[in-house]
Amino acid sequence: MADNKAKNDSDAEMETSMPLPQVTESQKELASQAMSEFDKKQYGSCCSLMHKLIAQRPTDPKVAHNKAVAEFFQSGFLTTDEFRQQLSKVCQMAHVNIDNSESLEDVDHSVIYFNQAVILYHLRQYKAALNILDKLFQYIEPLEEALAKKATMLLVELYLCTYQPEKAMGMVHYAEKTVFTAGKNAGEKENKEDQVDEAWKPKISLYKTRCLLMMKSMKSCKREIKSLMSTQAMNTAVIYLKSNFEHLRGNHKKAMKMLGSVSTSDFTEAGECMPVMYNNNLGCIHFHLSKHHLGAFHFRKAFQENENAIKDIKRGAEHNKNLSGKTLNSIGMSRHFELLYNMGIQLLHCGKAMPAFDCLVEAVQVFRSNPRLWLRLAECCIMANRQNNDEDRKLEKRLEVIQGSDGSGIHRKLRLGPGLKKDNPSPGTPAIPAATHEFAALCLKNALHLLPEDPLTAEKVPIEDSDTVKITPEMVLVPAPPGNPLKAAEVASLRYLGHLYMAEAQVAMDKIADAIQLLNPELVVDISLTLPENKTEQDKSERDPEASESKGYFYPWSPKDLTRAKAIAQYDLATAHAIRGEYDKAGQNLGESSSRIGTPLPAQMYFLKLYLDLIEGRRNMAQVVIKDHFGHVTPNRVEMKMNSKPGVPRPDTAVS
Amino acid sequence: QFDLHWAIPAISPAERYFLSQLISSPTKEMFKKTPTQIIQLDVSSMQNFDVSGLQLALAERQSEMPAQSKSAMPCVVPDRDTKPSSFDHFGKPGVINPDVQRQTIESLLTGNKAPVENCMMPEFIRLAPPLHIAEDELCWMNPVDMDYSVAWDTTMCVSSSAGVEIRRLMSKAFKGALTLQQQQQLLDELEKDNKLVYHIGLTPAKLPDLVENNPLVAIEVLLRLMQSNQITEYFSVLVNMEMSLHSMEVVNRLTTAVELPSEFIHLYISNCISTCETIRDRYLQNRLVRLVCVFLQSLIRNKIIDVKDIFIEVQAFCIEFSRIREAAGLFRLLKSLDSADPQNTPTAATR
Repeated sequence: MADNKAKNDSDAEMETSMPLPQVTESQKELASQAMSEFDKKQYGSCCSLMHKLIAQRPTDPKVAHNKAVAEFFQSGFLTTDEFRQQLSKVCQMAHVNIDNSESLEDVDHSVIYFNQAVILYHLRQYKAALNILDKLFQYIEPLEEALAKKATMLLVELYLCTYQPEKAMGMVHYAEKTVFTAGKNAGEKENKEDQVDEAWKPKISLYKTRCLLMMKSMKSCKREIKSLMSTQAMNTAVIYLKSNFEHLRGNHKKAMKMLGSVSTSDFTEAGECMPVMYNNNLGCIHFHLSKHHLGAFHFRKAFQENENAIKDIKRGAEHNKNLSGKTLNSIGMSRHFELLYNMGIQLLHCGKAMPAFDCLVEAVQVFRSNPRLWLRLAECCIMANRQNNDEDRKLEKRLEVIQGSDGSGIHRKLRLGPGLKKDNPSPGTPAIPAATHEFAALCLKNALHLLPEDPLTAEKVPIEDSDTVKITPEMVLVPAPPGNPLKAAEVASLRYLGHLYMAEAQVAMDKIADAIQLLNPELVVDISLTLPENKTEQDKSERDPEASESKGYFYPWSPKDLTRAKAIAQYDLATAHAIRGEYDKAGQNLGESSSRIGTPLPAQMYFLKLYLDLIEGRRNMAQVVIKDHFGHVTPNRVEMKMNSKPGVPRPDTAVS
Repeated sequence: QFDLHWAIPAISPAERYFLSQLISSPTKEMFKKTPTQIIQLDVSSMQNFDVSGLQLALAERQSEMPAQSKSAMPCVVPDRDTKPSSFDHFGKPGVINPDVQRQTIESLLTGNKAPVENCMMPEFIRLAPPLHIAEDELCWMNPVDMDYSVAWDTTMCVSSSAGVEIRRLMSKAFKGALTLQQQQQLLDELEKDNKLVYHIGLTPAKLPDLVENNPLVAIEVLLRLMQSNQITEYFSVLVNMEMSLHSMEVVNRLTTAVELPSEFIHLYISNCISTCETIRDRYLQNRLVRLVCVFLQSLIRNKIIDVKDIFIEVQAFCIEFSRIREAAGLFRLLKSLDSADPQNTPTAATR
């Protein structure tokens, strides 16, 4: 047995590491020449040198690797598919499993894994790329200097792309201390150390700024940007960062000015489309200025520019007749989904529920784990069914109270409306996206699941109607990061709404007594939506005076004042009493509420008034209301003489 | 007006009789009559139908239902003209117009959503919540000023002959003991190039093999890796590998050469002790216990560990294996240190 094992082991060894032939002097020479041509960007001659070398060393994975790299550069980064194929062949030759980062054991293979990470970065598969680089980082010390620098910078970039600014910052600091100082080799002169640092300082500063912006460390950011502006005031990236900074501080005019100061040549060196970014950022600024239609305009423009850029690239690819056809940089260039996301939220704030819904339902396919996005989607559904809280006061709603009349003479009958609530159960399953309440409930469930565990982050308790089938489930929840100063602003209004929803549910469950307690108008004490004083580290003197005052109040909501809010609660109270048959109390509350709720009255009040009059047999009183407000449906007036009998004839004859 | 039910117009006695017959026991003759005949029936002599049973059943049924479902009223409301509205009607109030009558009946009772089937009840005003207020929700875009491109492999064709030879030696070292000369060659090359240690094909997974076959080489290699990011992984492999003379030798040497994290040492000691306790072979057990005792004595004497930290565990170990000479010796050492220590805490002394 032992013998067999030994034999198998040695067989395995034969398989895994057939020794490569020794490197001859001439091969060394070739290799060194090739590298030199590569460094001089002479990719053509580099490629031909590599062809010679691989003829001599066909089994050497490093030669195959560098040949692939040279050819990729030579093609202008157009042949991504081919490069990937060649890379996987190299992996086979080197017995490396590129898909499993755990298998990186030999530091010699680092460059293969690094290149894989680069490709993944450009394909926007950030998590996969991070997986590789995190493992690669363990071998950072023995890495050749240039590769180490590239690896750390890409690592920083990936942390930023995945919104982990603290990790990114940690990596920047590490890099500053180790990779970018020349102090590794003993005996380095002072000058040389500084030289190495100087070349990289601006880039490191840029990374730092991006980290600080993402972490909202405004003071440190200010310092960093100041130093950047003093040395690189013309750099587009720097200007955009400064604009971003001003935008975060609320100095929107300044931010706009900065953006406008850069001439937008269409594409950056990294292949990004400037008009897309320019318009997008303007859209963001206008959002914060509460100019949502203008903001939507800019987002639309950004979207159009993005579409155009993609078309251009596609056309170019067909022209080049390459397998992949797009340059490596431009593969991940499209900002389609981010733009949809921005656009959807902006449209929602324009009050355009369905267009917003269409945008967000597409965006959520990509940004699946963003709880706030699911919440916005639910808000679209709700808005699609109820544009705002004042729509009950509109004429078209009021006209539903009496829908018409039939017949004439003694046969005339009035047709009352059945109410405002739409009683249509949606066809099909709620899982298919549609702007319905059922789908909204699904979205909210998703949002809930995606929230972090911390109970501090959940602001509201979801309130569900128990009568599931026809009554719409009103689960209302607002996720907020802990410590968010805006949390306080929303709680008051949410508590008010919570009471109202709860009461409605209780009435449906026949717990009317509880509902009546909850609907006490005295309980309504605060429904404000405005922010308390901003407690961030902003320097107030620097704030743009034009910045919107009530920072939290992007979309108008009613009831706007306490009186009206109380009046609504009181109306609901009247409803609860009416359902329980307590018509006196109902009438009383209705009367008070209608005097405080402001005109025009919501349609529900007319419904309730007629209901109360008719159910208590006050036919003439009902007629007063009907003739006053719905005069077009009846010719019958009521004579308001004190002593006369009710003017409606006694129907003592047969049925109609 | 207040006598009559608000929703249902008054019915004549004949109509009432007809309805009660329908509910209780309709006769065949009744169905042969025309509506006009029924209306003109003289029912003064007929018995009045007792509705109390029906009312009771209805009340019972309704008592189960929530108030909300009992609160609706029909949507059709009679609204007879109070004044004549056309010449036709002058002087003829209360005249039935059969055409109008039929049209009205049809529009109220027939069709897809006949008005007669609607009902109206008190409705809550259900407010929509305000839009969520979020800070920094939108995606701002900044141009990236970096070019992330694919890299050239600078190690192509540069490995010296020494490097290849060393790798070959190392792969041998994992499988069996090297000769003294070979070991020396390895160590010399590692000394010359301090990055070589990263290129010799050593991984944490392979460490145990190296330790078992060539502990001296393992020691050297680990010392050279002390500053690297991987060292913690190597430590954890060392701690968890099967206890042996060689592994103890390696750990011992490491402790004297560099400062190891104390958690690592404690963990290693615990592992050693538990290995001794669980091993079944008496002979092997004795041997291991002896080794552990010698190891611990060395650690203590060289002040690499603080006795206080492991006192209880080691004392228990010594007592358990008190039959072995070295354990007894270790025990005495522990006691001497314990009593010599002026800061002796009561908890340490009592067991």
